[in-house]
Amino acid sequence: MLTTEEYSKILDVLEREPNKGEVAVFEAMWSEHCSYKSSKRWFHLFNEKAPYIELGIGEGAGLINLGDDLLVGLGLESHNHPSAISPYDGAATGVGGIIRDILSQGCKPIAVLDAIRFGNIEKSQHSQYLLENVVRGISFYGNCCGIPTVGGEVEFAPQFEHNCLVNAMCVGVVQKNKVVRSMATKLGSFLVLYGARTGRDGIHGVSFASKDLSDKSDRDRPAVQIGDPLMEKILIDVTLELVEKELLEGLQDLGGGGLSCAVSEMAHKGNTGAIIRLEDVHLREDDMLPWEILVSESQERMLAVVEPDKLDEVVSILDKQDLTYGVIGEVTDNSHCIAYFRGEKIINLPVELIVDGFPEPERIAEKPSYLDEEDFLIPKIEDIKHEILKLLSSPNIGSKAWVYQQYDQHVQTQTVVPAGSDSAVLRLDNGKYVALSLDCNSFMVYLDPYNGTANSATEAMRNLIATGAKPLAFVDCLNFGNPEHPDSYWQFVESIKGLGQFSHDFNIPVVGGNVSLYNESFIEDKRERINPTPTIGMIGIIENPEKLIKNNFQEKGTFVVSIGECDGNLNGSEFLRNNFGILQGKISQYDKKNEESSRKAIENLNQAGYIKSCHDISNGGLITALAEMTFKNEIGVKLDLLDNDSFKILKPEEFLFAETPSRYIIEISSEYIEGASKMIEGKVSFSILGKTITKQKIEIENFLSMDIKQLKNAWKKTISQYMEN
Amino acid sequence: MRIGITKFPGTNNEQDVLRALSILDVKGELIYPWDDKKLENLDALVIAGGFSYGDYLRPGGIAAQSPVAEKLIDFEKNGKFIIGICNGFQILCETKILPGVLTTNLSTKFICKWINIKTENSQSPLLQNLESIIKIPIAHYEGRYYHDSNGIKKINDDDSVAFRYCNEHGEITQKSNPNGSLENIAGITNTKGNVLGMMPHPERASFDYLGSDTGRQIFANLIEEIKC
Amino acid sequence: MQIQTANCLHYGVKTGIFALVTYSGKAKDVVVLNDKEVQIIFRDSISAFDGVKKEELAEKGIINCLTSVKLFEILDEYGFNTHFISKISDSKLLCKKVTILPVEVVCRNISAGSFCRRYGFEEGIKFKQPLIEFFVKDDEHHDPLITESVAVQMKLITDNEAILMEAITRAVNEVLLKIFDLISLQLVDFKLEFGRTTEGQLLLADEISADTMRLWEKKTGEKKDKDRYRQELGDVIVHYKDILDRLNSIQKLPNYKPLSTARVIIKLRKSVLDPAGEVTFRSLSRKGFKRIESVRLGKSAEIAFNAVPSSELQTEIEEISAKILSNPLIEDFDLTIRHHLEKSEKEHVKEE
Repeated sequence: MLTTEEYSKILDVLEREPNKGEVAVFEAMWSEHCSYKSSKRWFHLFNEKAPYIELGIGEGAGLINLGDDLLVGLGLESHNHPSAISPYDGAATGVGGIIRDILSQGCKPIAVLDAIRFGNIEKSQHSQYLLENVVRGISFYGNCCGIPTVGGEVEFAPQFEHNCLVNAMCVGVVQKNKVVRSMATKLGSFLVLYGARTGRDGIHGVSFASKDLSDKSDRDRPAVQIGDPLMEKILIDVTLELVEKELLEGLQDLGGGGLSCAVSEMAHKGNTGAIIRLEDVHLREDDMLPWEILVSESQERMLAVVEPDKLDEVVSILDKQDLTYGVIGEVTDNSHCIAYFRGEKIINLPVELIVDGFPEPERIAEKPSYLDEEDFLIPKIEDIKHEILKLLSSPNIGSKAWVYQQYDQHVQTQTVVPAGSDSAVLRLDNGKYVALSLDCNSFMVYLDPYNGTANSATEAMRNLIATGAKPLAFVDCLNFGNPEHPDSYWQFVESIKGLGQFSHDFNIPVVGGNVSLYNESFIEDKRERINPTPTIGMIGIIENPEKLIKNNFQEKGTFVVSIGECDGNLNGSEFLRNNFGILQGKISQYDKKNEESSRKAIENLNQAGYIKSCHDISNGGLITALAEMTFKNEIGVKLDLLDNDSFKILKPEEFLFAETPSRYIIEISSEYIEGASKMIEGKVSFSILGKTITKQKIEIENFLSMDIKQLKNAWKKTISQYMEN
Repeated sequence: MRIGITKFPGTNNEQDVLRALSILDVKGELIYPWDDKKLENLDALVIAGGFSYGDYLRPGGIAAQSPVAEKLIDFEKNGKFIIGICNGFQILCETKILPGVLTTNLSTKFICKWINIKTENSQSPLLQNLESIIKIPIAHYEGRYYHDSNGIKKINDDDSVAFRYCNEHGEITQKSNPNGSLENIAGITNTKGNVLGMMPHPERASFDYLGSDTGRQIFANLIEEIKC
Repeated sequence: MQIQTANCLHYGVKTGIFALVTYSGKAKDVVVLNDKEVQIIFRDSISAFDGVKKEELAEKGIINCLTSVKLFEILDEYGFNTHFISKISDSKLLCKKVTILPVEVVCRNISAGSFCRRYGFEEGIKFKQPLIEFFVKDDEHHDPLITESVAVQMKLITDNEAILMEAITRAVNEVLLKIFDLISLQLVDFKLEFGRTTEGQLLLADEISADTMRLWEKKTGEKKDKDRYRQELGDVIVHYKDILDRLNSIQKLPNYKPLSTARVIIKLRKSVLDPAGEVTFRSLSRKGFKRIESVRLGKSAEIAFNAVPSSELQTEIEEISAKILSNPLIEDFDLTIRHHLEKSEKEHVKEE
């Protein structure tokens, strides 16, 4: 719904009342989802520049030059509200949408990653149902399109019980000279709408996404679109053929706001206008009203700008593949978007007004009261083994194989490291590797949006570094509560500041993203808000495939070394949260210097060929990282901590479970340990923890001994035990 | 040498098969559903995996009705080689060129993972010189091989079983059966041995950097046989 | 017309004339010409109340014959299969030889006749949806009403025939309503007889005339059909002739796109494991639905055809179901076919 302020702005500019079709267009285009009206004002905080960035924020995909003029496109988008209402179709169409975003720049999609978040899976049948169907939806759609789903993350917390999150990331590749832009620049070019026919799907989908979810949302079911992955696959094949033959002047997918959005945005970017004829749009239901055609969000549709002399060839390619299309309009120079239906003018609006004319609403940020809660006591730990097993069986720590085994990770035969490691690694046609990670620790962000976000971004970065990759750029998906609530808005603003800080500090630019607000609802008069969740999708490059680092122990008798220093802070840790239900306190501060020195250490050691394997320390702390490194090859490890300063100062649980950032564990063979130590001595805090051993155990001298099998068993069945029965 | 690779709407493994053939220095060509006339000039056909026509009706069900599929029976009768992988295996069963049917996995979930298969004693030239245990990925929703008891008996009697799911030691166990296929059957041939259908993906096990290249031999055999 | 069938022998008289077999009914004679063809001769006889009341009316044979010809031609135009081949003379038709089914179908748009007598309802009630009734052709028992399931159980007709007879009758009703509306007549009800060829094809048979239907003048409600004779309203032939004249005056048939729908249900065979059904079963049991014994999941398809229901259509759907929609190794299917009401018709009904 338009606000009074927005409506008067429309009256002022138009100097007349808007008609019904025009109101529908404004409702869609000025919704939070399309306009970013609460968030855009903060984007200047981001670092958006690097020499290798070919296209930044603003179109379907951010483009990064990997050398040889081979560009990688990145996109990340949320589909939270539709997935909460109809998890299967919501998730499926979320994947479909982000694939078409990438396609809009002419990229061939090569991978999908998903970050999904649900309520308490141990107790909530509803969350189990959502997980089951979201995964099924992603699997159904991505698999059928022939794009490997290679990674992502899954997080469970009661805060997501009523507002699950489904964020999908897509990665594509395109040669620099084939890039297509989402703009309509050349006058007289034709607008060609191709793909699926237009139906009543998701009418008002964007206004739906910009609205609180409530008990009544089930009735909004028609606002959820149904996906057709076969159509998407054909759309991909055909679009790539059109791109390869350089037949497209401009291209944009139809997403939120439908046709009205694609036409006006492309005209706006190209400083042009457009005339469209709605009767030339192929419909699935022939009694659709003109305004419904304008804002319908039917899936699997693309709008191409085609120069007149290329139209015949475009049409013949579309015909050959039996794809529905309509030449629905032309690019004009009058900076208006005009739509006709059988000769009758339906809308006539300045594109500037549609795309950028919304009045920025006033938003107030206020620190939430939960952050002033009193101090708490960390319980005394009686049985450390019990605590370790309990932690490893937390669904947030445990194996996600139940999820990713449902995704085709290998199609396209370029998946070098599939889901389940720190980062997914893909081989490109030029022989180089790219590493991808998708991360956020929403608990840390909840406790401190600024530091929590910046630390989450560094974790995404560490995931790449631990794989041997050089981080290049990232995309974000900012999932927050209702911006009209000052405390929710404060979380958002703090978070975006932290992310901006990170992007400048490490010179890793943002190339795109998406903002999803209103992930908050009143259920039985109780306010339910998600943990603030800025999901970060980062890409790095491994120029030399030989420098790819494994994430698990490779050999017996090697040295195990920790990089970075443990501060013993347990606040926000999975240990406190999962084992004791405590989510409170001040989290570790973001520290640029430590992060950089750790990163340099890993990079230098890897360059020198010293690293056998490496894993970053994050969720679940040191003990979890160690355990995960032992699982794959069942190589044990024995730590000797008698001379370890941290172990002497800290309580055992602090040493084992703290999630202090900037830390890694590395495996170094005995022949290199001396050289390695020399190389990093004085440059980074590190300590030799112990050695890998033949026994399939994790041992800490005079303190602990546990069987790998037992640990692995707890870790392995954590999700499947709830889902398989 | 001309090897065709089918590309139905929804097929998505055709580039992967092309890539696997190209490392053996063979340039495959794509065969679209309406290319039935081109079949005459081919030496062999690989029916690549994916979701032909969305697999909306039944996996392979619609592809089996296409002009190319209708010519397949003659193609097979002329002794030419056909390899059907994943959806390709499903299509071969739908066209009745291979016996049986592939139906929903016991888990009722799509399964994508690395598994092991054991090469069975078979006279098919496509199966010679293979490692006895092959590490190879599967990725399917409907890969459970089924036939009635007479059908299963006949396949066994004819030595038509190409591969069975096994553990890393080559033991054919219930635990190593990922989808509930009868008798752990992962792939079969026709009685003549010129047609092979299999659910696992040899093209995904043809590159060392992906984790295994033991599947490549199947394509090498195909090329060798055509050369003969 | 009554023809002997296995289950239904009434009062037709079988006579041998010059090696031709003739069956004689209440108003028509049928001469079997060969294995494939018969000649039907319309007489001037008229009778009612199971032959209790009968009479000869001049020209009646010719008028009924020509009315039938006209209506068969129209139905043929819309794609219905009828037994009519050609007109031999004004009172003689050349028709396909069929075995007449012992069950006839009545379609009612407005209450009248035996319907009112049977239930005591008044005449002239408009039905929201046309009513279909099956009757056994058996004068001895006064052509009693029969349910579809009894007719099938007693093997008078097959399951498929019952489904098809109803679907065809509904489709014929839709066409005839339009035709008579064009010439200002209200189609109240009508009776159809069906025949089966040796190949098993189902055909519309017998005659379609003012003897087998009720027609009222649209504006006045005046009766124009056999009720004039039954109720002794007089001028039977005048009105019969008027109907024929009006039919002959039709220049252009109304535009009507026939639609039939087949619903096919595809089920996994009993012997085949259904993991999806098992999972559903387990989850339902877990939810506390304890009375569930088993769950089998299947697929269903709804196929719309731009054709009126017919035996050929039924065969075609069977072929589609058996060869494409299902895999016989693991799947079975059930199918039903029905006449699809036009959209406008449906909405019309709703408004009422």
